[in-house]
Amino acid sequence: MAWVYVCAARPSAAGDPLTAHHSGDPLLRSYAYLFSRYRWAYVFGLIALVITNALSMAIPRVFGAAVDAFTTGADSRAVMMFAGMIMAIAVVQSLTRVVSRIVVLGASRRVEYDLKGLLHDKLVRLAPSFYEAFSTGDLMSRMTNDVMLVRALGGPGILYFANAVLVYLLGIGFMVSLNWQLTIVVLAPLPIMAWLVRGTVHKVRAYALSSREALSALNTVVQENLAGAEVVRSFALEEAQTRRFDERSTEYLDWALKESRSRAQMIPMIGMAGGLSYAAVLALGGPMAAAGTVTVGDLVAFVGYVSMLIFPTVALGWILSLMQRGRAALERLDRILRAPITVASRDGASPFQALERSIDIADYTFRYHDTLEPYRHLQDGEDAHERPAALSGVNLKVAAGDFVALVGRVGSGKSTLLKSLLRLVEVPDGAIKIDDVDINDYDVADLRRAVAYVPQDDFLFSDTVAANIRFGAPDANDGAVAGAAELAGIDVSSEGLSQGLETQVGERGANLSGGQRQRVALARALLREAPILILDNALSNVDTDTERRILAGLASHRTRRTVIAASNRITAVQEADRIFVFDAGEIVDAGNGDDLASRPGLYATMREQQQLSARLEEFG
Amino acid sequence: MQDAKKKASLGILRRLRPFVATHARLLLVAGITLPFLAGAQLVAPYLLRVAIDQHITPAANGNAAALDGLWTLIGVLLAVLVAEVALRFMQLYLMQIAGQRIMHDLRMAVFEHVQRLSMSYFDKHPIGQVMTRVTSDVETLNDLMSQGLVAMVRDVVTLFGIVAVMTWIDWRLTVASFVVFPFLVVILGALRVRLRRTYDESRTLVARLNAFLQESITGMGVIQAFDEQGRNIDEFRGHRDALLGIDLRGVRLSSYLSAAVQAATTVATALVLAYGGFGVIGGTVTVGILVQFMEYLARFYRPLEDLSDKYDSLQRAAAASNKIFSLLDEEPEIVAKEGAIEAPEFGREIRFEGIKFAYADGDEPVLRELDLTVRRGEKVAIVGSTGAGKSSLVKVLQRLYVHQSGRVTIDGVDTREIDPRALRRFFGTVPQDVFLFTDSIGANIGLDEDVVSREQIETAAEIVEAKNFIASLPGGLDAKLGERGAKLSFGERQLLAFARALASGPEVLILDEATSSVDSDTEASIQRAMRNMVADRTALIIAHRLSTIREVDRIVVLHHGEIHEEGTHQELMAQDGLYACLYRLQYAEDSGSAA
Repeated sequence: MAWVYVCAARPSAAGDPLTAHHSGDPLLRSYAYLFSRYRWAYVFGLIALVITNALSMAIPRVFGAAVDAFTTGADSRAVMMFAGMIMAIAVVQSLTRVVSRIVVLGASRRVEYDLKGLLHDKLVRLAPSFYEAFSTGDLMSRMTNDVMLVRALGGPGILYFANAVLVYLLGIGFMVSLNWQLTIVVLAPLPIMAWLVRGTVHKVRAYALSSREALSALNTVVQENLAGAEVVRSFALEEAQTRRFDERSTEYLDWALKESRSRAQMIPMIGMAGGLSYAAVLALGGPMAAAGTVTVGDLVAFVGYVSMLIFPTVALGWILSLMQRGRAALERLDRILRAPITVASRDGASPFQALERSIDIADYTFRYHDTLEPYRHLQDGEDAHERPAALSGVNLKVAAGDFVALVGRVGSGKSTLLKSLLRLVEVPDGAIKIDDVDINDYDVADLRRAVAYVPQDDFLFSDTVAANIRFGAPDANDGAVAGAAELAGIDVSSEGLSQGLETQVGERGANLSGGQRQRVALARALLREAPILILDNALSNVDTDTERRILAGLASHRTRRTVIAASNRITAVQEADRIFVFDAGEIVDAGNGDDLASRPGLYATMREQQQLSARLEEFG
Repeated sequence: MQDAKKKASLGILRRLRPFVATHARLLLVAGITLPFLAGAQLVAPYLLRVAIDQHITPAANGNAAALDGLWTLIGVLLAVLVAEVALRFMQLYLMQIAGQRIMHDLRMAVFEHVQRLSMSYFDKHPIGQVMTRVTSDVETLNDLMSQGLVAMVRDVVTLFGIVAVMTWIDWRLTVASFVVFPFLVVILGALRVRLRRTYDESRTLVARLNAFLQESITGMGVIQAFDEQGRNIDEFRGHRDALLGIDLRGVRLSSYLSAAVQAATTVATALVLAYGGFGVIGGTVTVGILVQFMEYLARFYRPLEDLSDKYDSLQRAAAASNKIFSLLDEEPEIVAKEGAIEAPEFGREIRFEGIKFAYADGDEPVLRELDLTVRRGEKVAIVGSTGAGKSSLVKVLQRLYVHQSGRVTIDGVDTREIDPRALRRFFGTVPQDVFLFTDSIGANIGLDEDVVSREQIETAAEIVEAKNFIASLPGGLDAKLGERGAKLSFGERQLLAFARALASGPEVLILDEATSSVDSDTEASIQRAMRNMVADRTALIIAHRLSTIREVDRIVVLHHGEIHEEGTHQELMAQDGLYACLYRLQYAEDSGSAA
């Protein structure tokens, strides 16, 4: 019951209204610090608000007193005094109003600033598996819409709520000081109104829910229509689809109208209460004035108070929904902040500089499904269906300084293995040892700094080519960048890069070809000068000749550097010291290129197929 | 400069006029209530004044009989109140109805337009972006339609009403009330310009911050692999700092604005009290008039306060409209000609004559000077390596894309003379990836209930031998599929796609075989279904399976957008050319099991 809710609010709430009202709410309590960090701003702002409102409330009082004075024969000095009082109020009030708004709303902007920082700090630390569980769109919507709702809670929410409470308390105080009987009569319509509004609010909420469901059904139609654009066209379903869309859109329209009808009922109801209060003042106040228990001036003041109470009453519903939505948003953000960080350096983690002896992988089994488990309780959606293990019982050894290749079809587990070496996936204890120390016992940052990695997904940032190459080594000079670019086979003059290395690559590197993106990603890794180089199908979009040239260049540069490369292309890796053949998450064969080519098996089949493909290219 | 920019961007809202005009009658009725509502707002303070001056004040001065009329007055006040409540409800609701219907119309217009756009549009525009146009951008306009506009009109009407009534009562007191108004206008004007600039700047910074965040989230794997989290945090802080600075400036400016309005109201009250006070003493002004003016002042100044919010919502609406209308302005590439053929004849053959096709102008052509004839009743397999142009060939045939030169004919009639929708209905298509809608099995086979009857759906399901598995589902043909039909197995989905292609009884079948390998039972049922399907029909099959190749009349080998070889399997193997090479590459693996 909105009315009771307001009345129950005690002034002590002013210091930290949020926690005071929901002291039983653990969610709000655990994030209260976001707001209480600015408690002095809030306290200061609320003091200013008290002054502003007290002054506002004094105006009808002064006006009433003035009216009484004028009617009982006052002189022009009295007139100037009353007017002067109100003028003075205007000056002080505008100052305190500015202060209260700047301080409280400013604090809410700072809360937003802090909250975004807090969330981002967390996002940066969460393992890639988290991003499998939460889509980018979902995270973006939390980081924008939900943060905004929390800000609204901490700014306008607190401000207007405190304002409503103050106006009521002060208004009632002033009114009672004039005449308590009249006060009761004037306020009587308000609880009735609050009760009526409450019923409507429930209806609005139910309709709003239905209309949101209808909207999501409508969105599904659009989504499918666009995803299936080709089916729609080749079966000439444009009209059938339009009809379907029309049905859904009409359904949404119906619910939305029901919702707005209920909403439309609410506002006049509130206006009605205000009007009834006016009528009550006149009906009861008239006879009282005749009996001499109140003066005409008192009645005038009452009229003034009634009109002051209307706005906060109207705003109350809006404020309450603001608070509810803010709380719901905080809960969605809480899920990000509560998500476990599954890859981190342990206490007393060993430093890591360079690979001295070997990487040993023993009986390594990995399931993506398992890594999503820690996030399951944070999501409302149904379980993702289980996928087969990405790696099962893999045994593998890489000696320092070796060139090791992993070959196999798409999805055979090569990328997962490579990611494991950087701990970009959650490696179980005991599966991977580097120089006889468990990989999980090393400092993560050290480990990643020791590895130059070219991922399969050649993700580039929307910046220049040079900035992308410099990504992992921000302090590298221009010469080093150009050197890495050259080594990666980027020929600035013949690549069609209008601004050379200063060319903007566009969003996700859209201005570059697939092959160019891959070579930039390679240059980015090479500039790191790290002792271990990991290439994940890194040159699949580069033509065979260029690839051969790049690899030859790398080989001549490869002094004491360990290279682990996965490739779908046999030709790229056949000179490796040792080749591991992957199939469905298992190593099915291993040896050097010549050995493997000489015996029947997956390697030989793939090699033959690729040779045939190469021949096919030559036709025509 | 600033004004020109604002005009250009807000001007876009004018294009909403035809949509608004459709519901003019509703809006008109809602508009009629406005003056009455404003009137009701003005009447209450007037009644208050009469009550004080003619009843209460005399009663307080000892004339008890003066109170008699008070009850009638309160009755009138309550009547006005009820009328106001009814009118206000009517006005709000009517505006909502109009607003929501306009949104519905706009949504329909956007959706229908999207249906007319061809595939090349979707190649260039990501789904998410188009989706936003149809859904959230239209929704953004809703605020403006159902709240913003009405509120603005209502406020303006009320403002004029107040000034008029005040002037009529006492023009000198009115002057006293509005002495501060010009100052307020100047202050508001100055603040508004700065606020607008701040809002624009804030919007830009928000967009930049969100773009950065989005990129960070998508590239988080790379960021972590290179251990650059620290730098990412610093950069994000930079974005937040910039935004916070602007936002705090916005808070300051809007606080000044709010305080200015309040100060103006209070100062005006003081002036009314001062001037009116002398009037009361001099007997020219009554207490009731003073009260009435005080009430009007509050009603006059309050709406000015949320001016900046209104501007912001107007800006957002303009931005959304801009995006919506630029989509609506997109010219559909493939449309039916005037007098296009509705039912193409097919007695002899389909011919491709010197077809040249590239997905975008300036791109490398995927089909070059291609000539091909498919006779009625013939089953032709098209083979070739990835990128040889197989899929493009059937897309050009259905006119899903526009070819650059040459022509495709059916019995000598250029396909461009045929209504594209009729042309596409002429073919039954099985795409490589089966796309299922969130609907029943039957609806997924029939697709368009105006074209395909229940009997046709059942017949089609029977021909491809899908009846059994459909019967096993709860509800049979009426069984609902989850999003994208996730609950069906690959083989079942394939059979549904076959039935779908057959259901409307097309003349020619176009099949793009799926490449994924399946178990031998599924394989067998798919093969059986395919054999039943193509019997007695003309079929063009992009073949990936040896068993399919063996059953066709002719094999066409595409290479780099041209026909390289043509003939039966035996003939082509004997040539030992491209086909033989391709055959060994693609079919060698399943030849063991199929042979």
